[in-house]
Amino acid sequence: MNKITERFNYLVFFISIQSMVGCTHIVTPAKIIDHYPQKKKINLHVNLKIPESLKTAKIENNIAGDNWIIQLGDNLINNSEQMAKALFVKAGKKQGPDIVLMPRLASAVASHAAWIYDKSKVTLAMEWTVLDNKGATIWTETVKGEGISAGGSGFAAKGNVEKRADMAIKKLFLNSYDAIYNSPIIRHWERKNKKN
Amino acid sequence: MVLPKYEPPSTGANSSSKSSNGLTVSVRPLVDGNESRKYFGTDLTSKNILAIFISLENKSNKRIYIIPKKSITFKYHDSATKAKNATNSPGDSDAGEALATAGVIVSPLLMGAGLTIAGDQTVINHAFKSNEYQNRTLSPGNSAQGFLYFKWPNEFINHKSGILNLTARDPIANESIKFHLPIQLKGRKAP
Repeated sequence: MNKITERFNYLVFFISIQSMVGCTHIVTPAKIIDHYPQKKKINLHVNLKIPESLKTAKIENNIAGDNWIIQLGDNLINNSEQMAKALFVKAGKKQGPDIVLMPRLASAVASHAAWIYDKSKVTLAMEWTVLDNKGATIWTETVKGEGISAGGSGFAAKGNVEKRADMAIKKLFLNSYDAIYNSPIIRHWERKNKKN
Repeated sequence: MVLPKYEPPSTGANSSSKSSNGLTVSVRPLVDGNESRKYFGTDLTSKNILAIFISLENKSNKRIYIIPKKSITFKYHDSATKAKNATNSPGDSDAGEALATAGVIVSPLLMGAGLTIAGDQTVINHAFKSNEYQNRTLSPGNSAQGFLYFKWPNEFINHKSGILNLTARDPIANESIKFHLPIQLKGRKAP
């Protein structure tokens, strides 16, 4: 066997392995929401309690041998911190807060339509729980954000997944802001705290 | 595959509704295989999953209700209407009575459901997860809805009814309301 044939065989072998193993596509959403409504902040000191599960949050799908991973953890934590600062007079990790705000990713799922013109989706559901300073739950709400677009061809697929993830994150946090800001229970707690 | 958003029929068979202190709870099981395929892309009952659509509406003027998923249980009845237990939910105060808590069924059960197009699996998974009822707090005038998923083992195939139990808590008045909604399960085909 001459060298050319030998190299050709190596090449065929390499391509075969590649096609069997498939590719891993990692999407890391960069969207940070920094344009919340300029409203009067809620007069409470909040501690943001990030659970360990949020740090490693991701969506993983295997599509025809290819592994698609949307890394969500860092983004959701950064956005949670930004949103808490936009909502409350004081947001941090200091001792003796008025309330504790705890996010939990209730559901994170992505669909990849089989046809490029069909709609694919990224849907995130974040559960926000507010605890009083004794640890009792005073409010819990699950808020959704969804990003929808056509799946797109192979070349555009990764960019489209990223766009859908960014869209879902944006809607998730703007909807979460509204839900917390307009919560009668949190307002009740604000008034109660003011009296004390 | 494109799956439509679930819309419960206005006068649905098997549906049940109760109201108390301004809170209305309506439920409807999804037991028809064709209907299940229409909204989930697969017959959930053939995967031993009972999907119950729940709709909550706070019609009160000032009450606020927290309705966590863990406060919801479903109890099957056999032909003699005697309640039977299947899986208990750890940490649940009603564990002795509970058959299963919402959220016990997880989406991987749907994987490998004989689908021919790889992308469809993610579409089904998306429908399953994104339609699930999540923990909510209902302020006056607010409503919530979604599916609760319970195990429906083959040994309970002859159980044609059950009761969905739910507890709603008003955190300001510090009061709880318990709901017990009877549900008919007619329509599931034998495996």
